[in-house]
Amino acid sequence: MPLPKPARDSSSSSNEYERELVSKNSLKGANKFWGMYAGEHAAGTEFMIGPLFLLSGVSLQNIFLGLLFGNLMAVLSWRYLCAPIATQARLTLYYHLEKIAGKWLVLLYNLANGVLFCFLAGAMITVSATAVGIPFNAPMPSIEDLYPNSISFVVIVLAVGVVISIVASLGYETVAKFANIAAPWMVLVFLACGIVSFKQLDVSSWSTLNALWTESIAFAQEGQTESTMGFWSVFLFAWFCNAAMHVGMSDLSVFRFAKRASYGWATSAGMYVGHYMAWIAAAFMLAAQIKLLQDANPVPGPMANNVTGLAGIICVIVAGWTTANPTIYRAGLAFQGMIQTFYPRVSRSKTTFVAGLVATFAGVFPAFAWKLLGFVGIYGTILAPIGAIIFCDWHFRCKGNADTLHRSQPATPFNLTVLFAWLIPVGVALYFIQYAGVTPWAFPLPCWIACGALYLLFNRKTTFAS
Amino acid sequence: MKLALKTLSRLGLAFTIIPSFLFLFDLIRLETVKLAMIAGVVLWFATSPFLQASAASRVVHSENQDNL
Repeated sequence: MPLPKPARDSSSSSNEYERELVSKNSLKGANKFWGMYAGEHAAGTEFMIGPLFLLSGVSLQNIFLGLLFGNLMAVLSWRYLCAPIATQARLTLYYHLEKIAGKWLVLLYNLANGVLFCFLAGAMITVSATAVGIPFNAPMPSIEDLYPNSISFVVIVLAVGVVISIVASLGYETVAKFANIAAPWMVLVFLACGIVSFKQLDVSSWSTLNALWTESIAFAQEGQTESTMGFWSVFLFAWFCNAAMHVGMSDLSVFRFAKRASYGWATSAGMYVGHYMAWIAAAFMLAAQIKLLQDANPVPGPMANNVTGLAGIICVIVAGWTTANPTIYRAGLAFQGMIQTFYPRVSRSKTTFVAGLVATFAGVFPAFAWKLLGFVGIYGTILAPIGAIIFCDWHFRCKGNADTLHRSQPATPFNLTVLFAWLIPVGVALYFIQYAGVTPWAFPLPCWIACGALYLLFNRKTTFAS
Repeated sequence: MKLALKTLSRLGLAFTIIPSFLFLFDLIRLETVKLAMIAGVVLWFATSPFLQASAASRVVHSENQDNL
């Protein structure tokens, strides 16, 4: 088979090299990656995750240390698992996977991706709606509300969701540019929220901060100080909340533009700004709200309003919107890929709008936002194992040789060995999550290892013979 | 013109973060922090789009943004 040709275009930013090698003169410098990751991880969901740690009774020490080391593992996963393959193969995840598993299995993976993205976007729409509802004095759902608690909240979610869906269906560029513009400002608003709420806690030492934190947990848990997350839970959550991106190899699509694998270190900007500073800042916001207002409801809009006023409200709306938008766009593309198999003329804008409506419907139910920690674990458990197949194929069949990968074609359009290697561990994990109550973020790693081992076992003749 | 825009945008970021530190050290009240941050929003969003308009999109792969 001929090698995929490197693209000729070097100047067009719109050429995304979906089914071709990234040309040498289209490679980006390290600064692009540092900037992109720093901004990208200051998202609407950060306003939810920090407070949910407090509500889960996580001690301050476990938050600081668990996030420190968990995020380090995430950075190392990007640097040493994902970036080296990306900078040699220089293909998107989808094209890379298609060469191993066939186009039908990629469509199935895309469908799983699309559905999960819809629910994730739903949580982001909920987050934005909590800020939009403030001027209207709309009653916000509380942490106990799994269903919408008022007509006005439903109307606000529907309005926010429909606007986001329309914008997403019209195209991606404008919102992507707006997200880039907003990113540095959003990071500083997160930091300002943390500083102001820390001051509002009025503590003078680590021990007084710790005592106040324990009091906040006791208040939120109505007298109990029981923790459902210890150090290892926080560590695993921080490591695997982006499992689909690093060990799951989704960011092959990003790092194929990197000149060197060492650019993988740029992810530390995202992890320690977005998943360390911003989570801790958001957790402090809830602690301050509990102290000053005796309110343990982790609703992002009012929390941000309490500490930074209108700027905080705008930040919640922008953070939710700019991250819901690409999520819906991506889900729309996934659905388009599926539907095009049967209706080749279906447009991307229609499927994106439908994906947006599904996300909006999900956003009406605050449960998706309140259960975000568990949902993120399930998201990683389902999608990350695919990365193990790419990893094993690259190192055992291709022996790290990009030419071998580029010349290869899938044996069938629907590789059953990949399907079973993926679904067996994921099915077992989902059983334990659903029926044994095991925390979801415990599963991405075992599923990843099992998936890779099963893939090698099922393909031992072809893999090791070659 | 570009220098003026750049200065104003940096000022916008300064208005966003510096007041929180001043509040931390008891130099200003919370209401002042909130007002200064609104000024920061206005300055930043009024100037930075013009500065970034000429630059190529910073998104390396626009369809593949992280979502968390």
